[in-house]
Parts: sequence; C-alpha cells; structure tokens
Amino acid sequence: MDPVYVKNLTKIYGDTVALKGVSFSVNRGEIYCLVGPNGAGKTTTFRILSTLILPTSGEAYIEGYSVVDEPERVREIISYLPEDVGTYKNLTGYEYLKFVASIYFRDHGSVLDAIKRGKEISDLTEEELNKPMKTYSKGMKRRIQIARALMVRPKIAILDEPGSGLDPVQKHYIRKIIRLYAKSEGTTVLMSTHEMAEAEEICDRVAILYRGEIVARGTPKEIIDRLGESSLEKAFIKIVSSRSDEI
Amino acid sequence: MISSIIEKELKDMIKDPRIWIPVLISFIIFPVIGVIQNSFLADQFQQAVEKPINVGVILSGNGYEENLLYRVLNSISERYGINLNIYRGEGLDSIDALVIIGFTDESAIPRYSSLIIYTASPQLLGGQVVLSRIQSFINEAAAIALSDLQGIDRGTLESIRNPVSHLSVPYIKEKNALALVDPREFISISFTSLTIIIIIAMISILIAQYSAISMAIENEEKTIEVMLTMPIKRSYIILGKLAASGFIGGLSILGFVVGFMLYSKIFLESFTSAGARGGDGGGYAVGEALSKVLREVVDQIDSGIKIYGSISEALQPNPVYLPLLTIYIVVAIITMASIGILIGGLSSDVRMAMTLSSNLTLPIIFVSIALAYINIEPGSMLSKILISIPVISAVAVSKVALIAQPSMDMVVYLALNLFISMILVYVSGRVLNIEVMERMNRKLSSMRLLRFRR
Repeated sequence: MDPVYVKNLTKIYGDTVALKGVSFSVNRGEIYCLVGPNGAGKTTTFRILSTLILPTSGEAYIEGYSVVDEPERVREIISYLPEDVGTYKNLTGYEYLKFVASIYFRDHGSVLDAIKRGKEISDLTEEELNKPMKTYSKGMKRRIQIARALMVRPKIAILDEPGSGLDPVQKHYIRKIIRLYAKSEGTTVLMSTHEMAEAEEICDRVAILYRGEIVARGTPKEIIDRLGESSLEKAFIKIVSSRSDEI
Repeated sequence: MISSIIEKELKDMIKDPRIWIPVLISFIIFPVIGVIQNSFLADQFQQAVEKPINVGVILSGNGYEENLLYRVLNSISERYGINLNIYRGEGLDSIDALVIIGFTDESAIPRYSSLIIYTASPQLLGGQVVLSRIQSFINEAAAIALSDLQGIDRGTLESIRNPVSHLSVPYIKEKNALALVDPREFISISFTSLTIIIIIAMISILIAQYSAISMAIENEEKTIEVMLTMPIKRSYIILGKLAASGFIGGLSILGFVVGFMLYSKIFLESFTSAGARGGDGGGYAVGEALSKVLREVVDQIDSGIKIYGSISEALQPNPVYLPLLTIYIVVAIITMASIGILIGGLSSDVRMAMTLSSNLTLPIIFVSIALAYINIEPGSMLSKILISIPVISAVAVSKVALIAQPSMDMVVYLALNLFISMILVYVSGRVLNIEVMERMNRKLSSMRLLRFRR
C-alpha cells in the first residue's frame, strides 16, 4: 500500500458537505500537493489524515494504518503543520524544539541530534533560539514550526499551507527547505497550497481540490498540457470556471 | 515523556504574566495589608491612646455637685492625659471634645449625666479610643464625687464599682477541652479560620483560571492541534496541565499561607504593642485558688476533659487531620484544574476563557462565606452533602482544621470526592478532541452572540 492512501473520503459538518468522496494516493518520497481555493476541503482532508477529526465515511491509511482505527500508530509516523498555527509565546525556540524532540525520541543523543537538525532547518541564530517565541516575527514562527515538523524525521509530513502569510523571500526559503529535506531524508510530503506558482515549483504531483472534490490530478506539467495552458494557475482557473458554469 | 510535558507546561504557564502576577500577589497581598495596617491603623490607634486630649467643659448648673465634679475632674486630668478647661465658645475645631455635665437627684438617687461631643471623622480611626478615654475619665471622677457626696470611703466605692472579678475559661466542644487563655484570643482564631476559607476559595478560582488560560492559549494559537497529532497519550496532556496548574496553585497556596503568617505577625505585634502602650497589655492568668477549684470541677464532670494552658496548645491540629485536609485540598485542586481545562478547551480565546471561568467566582465565594458562618453539625445531612462535593468539602473541612477530630466518615467522603474529581478529569480528557471543542465553541460563541444581540 502507498504511504498515503485515501478512498472516497467524505466529511459533513451539519448542513455543509466539506468533502465529497475524495480519493488519492501518494508515493514514497514524493511531494504531493492538494491545491485549491480557500474552503475547497484541503485542511479538512489533512485534519482527517492527522487523526484530528473523523471522516463521515470513506477510508484513509497512513503507511497501512487506518486513521480511524489506529490513530496512535498513525501519530508515530506523521508530523502535521497546521496552516495558521502559532507558538508557545513564553517558551524559547530552543525549549520548544527540545520539548518536541523529547516526545519523539527516548535517548539523549537522538534528542540532541533532532534539536541540531531543528536549528539547521529553522536557520535561526543561537541568540534568536534563546529568545521567547513571543518576540518572533511571523516568518520566524513559521520557520520554527517547519523545523519542528521536519526535525523528527517523520515518514509522512503533512504541511498545510507552509508558506501562508509569508513574504516572497521567506516563502522561497521554506520551499527550498521542504524540497531539500524531502529528498535528503526520504520523507513523503503531503502539502497544500492555494498558490499555483508554488505548487508548480515544488510539487511532484498535484490534485486540484474544488468544493470538496478532486477535479484534476497529475504532475503540474500533465495538467497544464492537458488543458492547453501556459501555467498551472491558468489551468486551474479554466477548471474552476468550467465547474462554476456547471453549478 | 510525561516529565517533558509537565516541564513545558510549567515553563509556559509560569512565564505568562496572567499567571505569575496572581502568584506574586498571593505572596505579597497579606504582608502588604499588614504593613499598611501597621503603619497607619496602629499608628492612629497609638496616637489616640497617647496623645493629650483637649476637653472643654460646660456645667449645666452652678450647684455644689457640678462644681465638685469639675474639681475632681481637674485633680485627676493629668493622669488621663487630658487638658481640661471651661468651654467659652472657642469653637469645636479647637478642642477634641466638649463635655456638658449635669446632676440630677430624681427619686433620691444622685447621679451625674454627661453629653460628650467628640471629634469624629471617617479618616480618624482612633476617635472611639479618645471617646473611651474621656468616658473612663468622667466615670472615675463622678464615682469619687458621688462617694464624697454620700460619705462612702474609697474602698467601699471600689467594691461597688467592680463587685466581681471575672475570669472566663473557654470550653472547646470539638476537643472536649478547656483552654486557660484569654477568651479574646479566640477572636483571632475565628479570624484565622475565616481567612483559611477565603484562601482556599480564592486558590480554587485561581487554579481554574490558570488551567483555563493555559488551555485557551493552546486553542487560540492552535498549538493544541499540533500536540494532538504527536505520539502523546491524551491522558498525558491532561496530566501535564493538571500537574502544572496544581504546582502553580500550590505555589499560590504557599504564598497566601506564608503571607498570612507574616501578616498575622505584623498585625498582632502592632496591636499588642499599641495595647501595651494603652495600658491594656496585661497578661491573663487564672489564680492558684481558682485553678484548683477548676480542676476539681473538671474531675467531677468528666475526667476525660483536657486542660490546655496556651492557645497554640489548645488549637494544635490533630496529626491525622492535617494530611486528610491536605488530600481534600489536592482533590479540590485537581477538580478545579479539570474544570479549567474544560472551560479553556471550549473557549476560542483567552478572553472567553477568562469570562467563563470568572463565572465560578461568585458561587464559590458565596458558598465559602456562607460556610464560614453556618454552624455545620457533624453527621447532619447538610454536612454530608457539603463534604461530598470537591472544593466545597475542602472549604468545609478547612473551617474546622484547627479543632476537629478525624473520623472514618471523612475517609469515605474523601473517596467520594476523589470519584467525582476523576469523573471530571475523564470528561476533560474526552473534551480534548478538536471536533468536540470546535462544536462546543461554536455553540458557546452563538450563545454569546445571542446575549449581545439582546
């Protein structure tokens, strides 16, 4: 079974159908992106895969473990980065990395190694890491969170809008880190974005999610070529427009 | 792993000004009140006791009796530190008191009367002390004057004025013991008991707020989402929060207790010294003869009655009772921390958590103050109900901490407390679920919205 396998996933909140039978699978070591506008169902899919919420129906497996029946096993494999997660304001960046490392690793040496990796990924100076995180800029907070998510060498990293709210330079740095880390550590990355340029640049394969359904899938190039457009953004707009017309 | 979670919780909570400021306040509030009282209240009290008092006198008649009293007043005024003068309309602001003296002989009972106009102000706490000095001064002078008028010698006069030498011995029902101490000392004990109740009530509220804030911050920052996707047992997350809130709550208790001990020392010292200066600092001792009679009486009634010679000896808590009370308090802490986690979990932000947890203040303070004044009969239905509910039981048990004797019932009810507390811990663990929290939060927010709309 693929590291991530999702079949007919449905989620209904009251009167709202957030996911309508979503199916996809992710290959090992791949960067797989769910792209789509706000409210498309990306975060709901990720929250189900991260064991935070239960699907209304359908199946989802991480490394063969059901997210519904074996959530504890799934949590040992994944690392989840929510879209707009903050930080523990009163902890220093170093204290936070140490805390997370001590959750995933038992022996002292592994904890220290994880912290070292965290420092490298975050690209924060010693001085910055020893400051309370309430003093951090948005970019620094995001970097420490990405570092936290990747330093524990998860088999599957689920990153919801990792570049959300960041300036172009910081976005570029975060993309570089994700790509570098996914390749060097062999981590399977499942990420979401609503920025097509980002998806085109970083993702091996893409699934375009629109109103709770996958409306297109493939490599960015395949989707662009299939629709005869010059960019993923244009292809996306074409798909979304045709769907809107149908509705 | 659990130690890492507790360490993280503690570091995050203790550095939060919304938490460390109340902890700091718990350490300094009582000593600060004590110092203020010592500096201002005791100082005013001392001044009222020691300062010379200017008294103007108006004699309502010009008879022999009035003039006799005025002469006696003059002769003893120096001993009372009073400057006495006939009032000639100088204005009330130039004197401390104006005394109008009269004499009547109705039904052949000779008697002086006085009307005292004294300086009083909400800012002058010693006004009553000044009045007492003037009254004592006039009483003594009037007694001397009347004895002269009636031809009574001073010895007989003293016997008539103070016919009985009273001594009172408090019987402590709960301990079946007599305490050979000044009954006034029991006022300070009642005050201490009331303070303990208030401290426990305040701590309970603070602990609920600490854990509610901690949990609400996790919600606000969405760090709880990250925590819940880590390989951590839900119970560890709850335990971490309970332990951190409990530790900080314990720190607050320590702060209040140490602060209160300092306060008592400062407060009692200032009043003892002020009392001594005012000539009221004499000791309290039962005479040898009375003491012998007392022991004989005790032997006749019940040889099991104990006799204590000091207040500290009389109110020495039972060694078994204190650990029991401690466990009651620990259960109260766990209960309030769980309620705080529930409140924080259901709050989208810290402000909402603070608003919701502040609703606990009124009922807890109300019940605690009611408990302070209700005499709870041991074994009564009311007592059984109160001692079964965590937090309230800690308040009820602490009320009699200095005098009560432990019983098996207390252990049984403690188990019931623990059971209720564990249910709350379990419920707070169940709430640690994103879907439940978001659903409840939406409901709470819509309720709040409705309230604002109305």
